[in-house]
Amino acid sequence: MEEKRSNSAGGVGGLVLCTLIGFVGALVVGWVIFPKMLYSEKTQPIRFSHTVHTQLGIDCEQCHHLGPDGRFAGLPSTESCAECHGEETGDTSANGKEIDKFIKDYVKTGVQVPWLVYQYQPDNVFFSHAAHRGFECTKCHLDVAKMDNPPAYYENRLSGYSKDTMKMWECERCHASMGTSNACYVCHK
Amino acid sequence: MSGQKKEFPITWGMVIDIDKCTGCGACMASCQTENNVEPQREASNKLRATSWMTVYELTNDKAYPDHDIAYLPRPCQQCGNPPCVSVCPVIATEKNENGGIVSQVYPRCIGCRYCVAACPYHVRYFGWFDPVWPEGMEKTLSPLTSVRPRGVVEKCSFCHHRWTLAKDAARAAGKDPEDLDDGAYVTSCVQNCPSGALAFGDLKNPKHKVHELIKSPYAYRLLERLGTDTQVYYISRREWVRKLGDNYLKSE
Amino acid sequence: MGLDRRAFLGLVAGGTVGIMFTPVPWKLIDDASIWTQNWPWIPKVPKGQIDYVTTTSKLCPAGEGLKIMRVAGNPVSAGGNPDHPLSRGGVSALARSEVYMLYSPARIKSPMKRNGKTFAPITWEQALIEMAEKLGAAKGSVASISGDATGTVNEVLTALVGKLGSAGTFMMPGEATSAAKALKLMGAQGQAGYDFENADTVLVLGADIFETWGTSTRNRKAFGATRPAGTKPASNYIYVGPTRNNTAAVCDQWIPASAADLGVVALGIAWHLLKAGATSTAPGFDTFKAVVNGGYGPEDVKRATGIGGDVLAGIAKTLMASKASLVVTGSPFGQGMGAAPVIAGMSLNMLLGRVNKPGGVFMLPELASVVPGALSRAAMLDGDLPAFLKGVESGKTPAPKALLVYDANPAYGLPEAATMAKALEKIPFKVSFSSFMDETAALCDLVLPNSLPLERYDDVVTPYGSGFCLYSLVRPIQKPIYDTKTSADVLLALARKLSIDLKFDNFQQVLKEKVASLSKASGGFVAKDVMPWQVAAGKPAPALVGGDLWKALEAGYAWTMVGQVAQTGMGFASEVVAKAVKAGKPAAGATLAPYAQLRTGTPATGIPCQDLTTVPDTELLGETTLVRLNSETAKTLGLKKGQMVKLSAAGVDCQAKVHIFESVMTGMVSAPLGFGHTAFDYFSQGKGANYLSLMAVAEEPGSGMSTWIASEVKIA
Repeated sequence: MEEKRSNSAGGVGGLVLCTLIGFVGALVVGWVIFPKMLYSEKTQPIRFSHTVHTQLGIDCEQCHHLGPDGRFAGLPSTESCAECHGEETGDTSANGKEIDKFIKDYVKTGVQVPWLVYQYQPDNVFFSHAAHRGFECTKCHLDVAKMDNPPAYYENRLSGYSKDTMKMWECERCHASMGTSNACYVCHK
Repeated sequence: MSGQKKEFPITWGMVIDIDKCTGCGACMASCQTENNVEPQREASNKLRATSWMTVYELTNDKAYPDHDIAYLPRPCQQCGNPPCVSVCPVIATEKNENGGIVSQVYPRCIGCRYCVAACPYHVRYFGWFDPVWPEGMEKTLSPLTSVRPRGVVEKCSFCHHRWTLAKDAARAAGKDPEDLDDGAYVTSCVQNCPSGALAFGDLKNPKHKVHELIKSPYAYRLLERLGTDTQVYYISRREWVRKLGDNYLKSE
Repeated sequence: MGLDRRAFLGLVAGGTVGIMFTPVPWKLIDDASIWTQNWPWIPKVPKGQIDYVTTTSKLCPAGEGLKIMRVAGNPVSAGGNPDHPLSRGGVSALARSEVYMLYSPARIKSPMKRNGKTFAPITWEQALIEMAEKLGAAKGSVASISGDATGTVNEVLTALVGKLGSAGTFMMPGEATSAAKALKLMGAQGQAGYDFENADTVLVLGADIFETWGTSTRNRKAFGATRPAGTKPASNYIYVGPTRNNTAAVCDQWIPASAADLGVVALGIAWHLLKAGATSTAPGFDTFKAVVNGGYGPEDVKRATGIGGDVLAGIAKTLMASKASLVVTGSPFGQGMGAAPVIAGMSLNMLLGRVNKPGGVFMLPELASVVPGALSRAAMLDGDLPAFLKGVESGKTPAPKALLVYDANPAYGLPEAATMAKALEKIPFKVSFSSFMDETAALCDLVLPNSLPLERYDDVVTPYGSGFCLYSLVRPIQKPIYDTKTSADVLLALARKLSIDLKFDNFQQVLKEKVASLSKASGGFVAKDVMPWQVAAGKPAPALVGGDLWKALEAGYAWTMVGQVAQTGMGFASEVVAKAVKAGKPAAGATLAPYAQLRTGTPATGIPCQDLTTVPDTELLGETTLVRLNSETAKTLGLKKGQMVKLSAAGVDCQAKVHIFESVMTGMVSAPLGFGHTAFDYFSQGKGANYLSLMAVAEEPGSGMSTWIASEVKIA
């Protein structure tokens, strides 16, 4: 009896404590550990520095432009990069080595760089950049222009998409606030 | 059916001149590949084969030599009052966008097939099997239409993706994407038909050819008396062809 | 502190509540549902920039210009090129398939050598050595068969075979073969070209002009342009033939007639024209008049064909009353017509004064050859392949020691297929340049796969039926996917190995020279803002901007020329007509009336996989093809709808299911061609029967040409 009472006396505090531990533990797992487990971190095949290029006075549109048909050209091809980076530099600085790696692995072999795109949407989404021309790119995209190193790419282990891929509710929220239709075929294909 | 028809500023419509259709199948072939429908080995089983656009053979049911035939290409009729939409339990198919195209969103579809049963035009197809392309042929998939797994319903979308392309092109050219020129947006079947039997445009836009065509005394729609109010019109100078467009009593 | 039960429950409860305040459950549900939308076995669509490039269809005999959509540089789909005069935006089901055919399971992936009953892959170098050795030994007895009716590659092929010592250079027989023979017998020069765009009344005798005859895509565009939807048509099309086929289905009038009687029908119409005073200064007119008046009066024709005199008188009247009438003659299934019916049909054009007139028939000049020693197209068309192979089979003609087969499938695509295959077996060394494992390639000793048109340079030169001279370039827009080569390059390499000088090192040089020769032809222009039929109708031809022709052709435009060979001795060839134009014998069983469609491909392509869905179940059901007959014929033969039957003729049996279809003439069995392949892939193989094998070859009196237009079949 004694033991039991004492147990139950300390038990109320223990119970509260355990519940609290469980609660906090879950929060830690859910907010800190789970996201780390859910995403695998990947790095870009080439450490492309946007700042170096922007400092040279190259406009974003020079590489990421709308085609004459209004379709977004997306990422520049190896050929258009090769217009400037056609020959190996022999430069031994970190940037120079990276350029030479790009030329050796892609320009010389004529292969496209398998860039990891932070924003790729599923196949059944049709996104028109032309229709969203009025917005700042950084409204949706990472502000890479100010980054010397490409940010890490987090791939969702379950769904396979990038962590930065915009979710449908985000599209819908903005459409609703702008008074744009949220009908299925506005975005889906 | 609710009977409350939604009106849209733009109403995309197709006008098919049956008197010009030779039944060659170019529209079907164009559709298959534009919309990533896989090549089907057992394509002669029409209960299983998927073809969003299908050419039907019509006959006047008379014996030789008074017999006559006509070919009727059948895309989704994009009803004004779509019977498929009201039966969908998960809102995977809707008619709520300007242009009046009945949408179909595959990831949302649960494959119940109510819509297949509801459609009086048999335009809806259920994927009984996962699509398989011969080795390497998946490289020729169109980026403009997503690939459907088995277990969902699919149908003609009036090559809706081409509208988005046309709007983008208009925006790039500094034109109004909501007021496209005639011919700026046409479906794949319409574009490729060698006989020019198919026309496409905004039925409400007087600058578009189809606006006039549907006023022809020879123009009619399929099963008009159901009140589906379709956006696909047919034209034939032959009365028997027009009469096959609906069910008539002997006395009519 | 020990963890007792209560503490544990507390921990779990806290954890459960806690987890609800984290994204874990919601994110997992969301991601799991997304995961179910992306099964790894469902292919992803390609990503990348979309662009369009142009070329010309080579798989489709209609030769339409193509606009190919590419994604990140890879071809994705083929549509019609609106700027091309043979397409004007239209495309056939076959031309549409060009991109997918790149990955056809029937493609041959590397050069192969026969090893007993199977093939073993070899290298191109080995193949060349082997071929050079065998052909060197076969000198003086080398034959060739080409299935390419329009390419300059024929120049390379015939020049090489000629220098090796030719035992015959043949084309696969088609409409062009009959027409060329007819014109030759009439003493005419040039290739018949039909100006549909400017014609207002078109009488079609048998030819399936909207499906398999000539430039069918262009023909349909021309037809469609004169028929604005919903209003009165500005043209009148009359079809005469055994079935209401795809062409007849849209014509204003269908007049049932056996394919064997088309010559009689033509002369029957001529009788009415002559009666109304039609005349001609062409040689042989008097004899022609006597022949027609002697045996083709309304009564004679009615007896022979069943067509009433008033019907033909009506046609004659319509033809004479119209400003621009045109008579087109051809086979309802694209081959086997013989020369006489074409002569009879052409006679109508002469009586109506429609030769070398806008909206009529133009005698088009042949473009200059560039490979020394090459045969002209007219000379190549003069060969009679079925007669040659039958001779080889029976032993009357010595079998050539070697045979080169280019883009052709004679083991499948000829009448009496069994005989032809036997003849091929008698030839000791055979090389196939087919891109696909077809029936002929399967018989050959060496198979040297040609790159597909989207992977190679090639050209289309004035396809038969085109109303104007035309040159259109085929250019590679994709690297060869497999270990294939452009056959013309292989032939040129072979010539070098055999120390034969063909003047060129590679095929691109040949084409460049050909294009350079076009710049010299007067009157030629790049069809862009002005189309050739507008020039034919009187619009001045634009000047050819010199120097950039190759560039313009690479940009998908076609070089065209409106011109005609002035006819000096074109006559009525009435002696041939008198001998050969006879009514077909009434068949004891039924007469086979085949029909062909582009959606089932050509003998060289097989059934394009994407087109199988377009075949209705009234043509192919399961693995069985259906034949069509009307209820009266079925009754006479005691057949019922859906019944399985056996068609027998020429020592061959074919299975079929009966389909009752009233738009077939009484006494006729209409059968689809393009089925019954034993080679190719699972989209073609074993689907139905090859009814062409039932067609018996006969010699046409007067011309000596092989014909197989309507054969008697037994149905049981």
